[in-house]
Amino acid sequence: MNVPSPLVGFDYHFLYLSPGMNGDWLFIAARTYWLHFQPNVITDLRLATLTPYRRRVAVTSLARRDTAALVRSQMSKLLPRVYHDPLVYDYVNEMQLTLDQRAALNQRFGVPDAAIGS
Amino acid sequence: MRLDEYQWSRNPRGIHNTIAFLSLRMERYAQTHLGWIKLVTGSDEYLDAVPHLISSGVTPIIRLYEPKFGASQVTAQQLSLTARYRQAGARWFEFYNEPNLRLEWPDTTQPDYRNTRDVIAPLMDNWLHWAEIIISLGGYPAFPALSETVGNFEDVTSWLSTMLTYLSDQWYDRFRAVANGGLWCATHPYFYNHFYQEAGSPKIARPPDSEDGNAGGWHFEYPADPITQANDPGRSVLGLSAHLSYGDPIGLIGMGSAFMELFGQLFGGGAIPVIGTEGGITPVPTHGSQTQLDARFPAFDWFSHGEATLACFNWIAQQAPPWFFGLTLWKENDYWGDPIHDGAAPTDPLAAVDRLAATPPLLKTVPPLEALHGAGPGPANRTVVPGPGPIHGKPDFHFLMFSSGFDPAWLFAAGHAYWDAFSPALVLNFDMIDLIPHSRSLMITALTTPIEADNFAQTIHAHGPNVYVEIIAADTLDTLTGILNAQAANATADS
Repeated sequence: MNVPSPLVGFDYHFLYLSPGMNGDWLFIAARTYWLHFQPNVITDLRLATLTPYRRRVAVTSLARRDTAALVRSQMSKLLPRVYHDPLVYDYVNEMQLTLDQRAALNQRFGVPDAAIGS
Repeated sequence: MRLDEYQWSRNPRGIHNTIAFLSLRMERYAQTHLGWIKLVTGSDEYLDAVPHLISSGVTPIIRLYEPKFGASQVTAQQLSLTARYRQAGARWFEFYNEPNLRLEWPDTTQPDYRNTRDVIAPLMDNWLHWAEIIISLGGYPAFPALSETVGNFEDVTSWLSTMLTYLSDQWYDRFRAVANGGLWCATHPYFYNHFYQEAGSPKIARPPDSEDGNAGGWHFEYPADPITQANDPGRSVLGLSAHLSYGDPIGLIGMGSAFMELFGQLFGGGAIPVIGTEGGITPVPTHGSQTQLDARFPAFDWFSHGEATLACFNWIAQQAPPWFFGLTLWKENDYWGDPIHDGAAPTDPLAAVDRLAATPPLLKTVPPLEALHGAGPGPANRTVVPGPGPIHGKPDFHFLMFSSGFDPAWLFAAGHAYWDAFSPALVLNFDMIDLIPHSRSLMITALTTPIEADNFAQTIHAHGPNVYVEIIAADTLDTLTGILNAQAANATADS
């Protein structure tokens, strides 16, 4: 069984699939990433707004270019205090390349954990 | 008791005193034509002032200050002082203050609305006892004002809902008797820039420099105002909307509306007075500054704060619900620019002071509404439980969780069609259940091995007894694939 990499620097990590993204983006593009890091997967940002105020929260958002601005607007409106890690690609295979590489390098947010969350 | 039987000035303008024991500046209250004053007292220092205030048209509201009072019982000393204030002519009394805040409790207690036994039960039991005493003295007891905090253990509408639900379950008839005997609800509406004056259309706001407190077109009904409803249709003080998981009561009458809605649902309530005993357009301005905490609404500055404060009181008198009786602004030293400590220089009184002084108050006409409508629904005999509330129709949230012995990789092999059909949140930790407030409901699809199924369901229910748990027990990938694909196919056929 896969042993997930621990979350460092944050209390909650959400993987947010923006509006219009079907299961390909989770089950193909994010499969390896999810099995490695096991973030909470959400399609409704209201769930992330329920986290306690003083907890450290990170949201990795998956979006295409046509919804990236919407995601940015939603994040600033609903979750202005959280760490936002936006990923924007128009094709599933491009998103998968980035997420697979993060899993291979054990870099949940695309950089070493030590560079985040301070 | 009818709404028009409560004795007060009918003038909604009010101020909160600076601090207990400080001498009152009666000339200020006459200058600005006030109708209310909230007096936080440390002892009997304002006894002599009460008759003079009342004869001057200023209705006092009394709260005896006690730090970190938590859910303590009323003391003999408090009762003695209360009786003396009542004999002096005061009728309106408050007891607990913002009990949803950590700082109002002893350091050993973590106040959390989900803790009925140690928090909600003693708070409401002791409050009800105090309220009955106030009524026996011929006074009006306040339902406690809550801090208008949104989210987590301090969430204001969750506290209000849990407090009233507890009273409905445990003390239905006693609470109705109090409601019909002089109860009022205290709120603390610090409503930021959640107001505006129309610029020719209900959805267009004037800029701050063209606002006029004496003209019409003001909106203080947030979140029911046209701009908010255009931005997030259906947003309300208690309900779910497209953008919020909680209600949004951060407006002048928001928590009063929430109280009335729950009072009606749980007790057959009609109308009782609501008074904001702290609050106002906040933060108070400084010269040259502009404040715009919510970008949907215009900023306010030194001068427009004055216009809007005047307009706010006019709106309460003429357009607010009949049960909203007024607001005591937080607080006197801020509005009159008193030095904040010995040796400090005073600052200018706010523009609001000049505008109120220059404009006679509008008095409120109160209709003869009854406090109760008939017998009400009766006690529900519910047990207040932690976690999400019961499901009515469709759950607000849908989680997919795994038991510890279930390999999550199976989901990625078997669940693609299922996820396309239902899009549940994938959640690993039980504490995510704890985060769902009682005002929201939750369904969990639990993927588990057969041997863990019962235990997994029990663990989920320990975190949220109201959670609807759908167990999917599979010991082979083929079994799981068959179940999930069948559910996905059914959903597709139904849609």
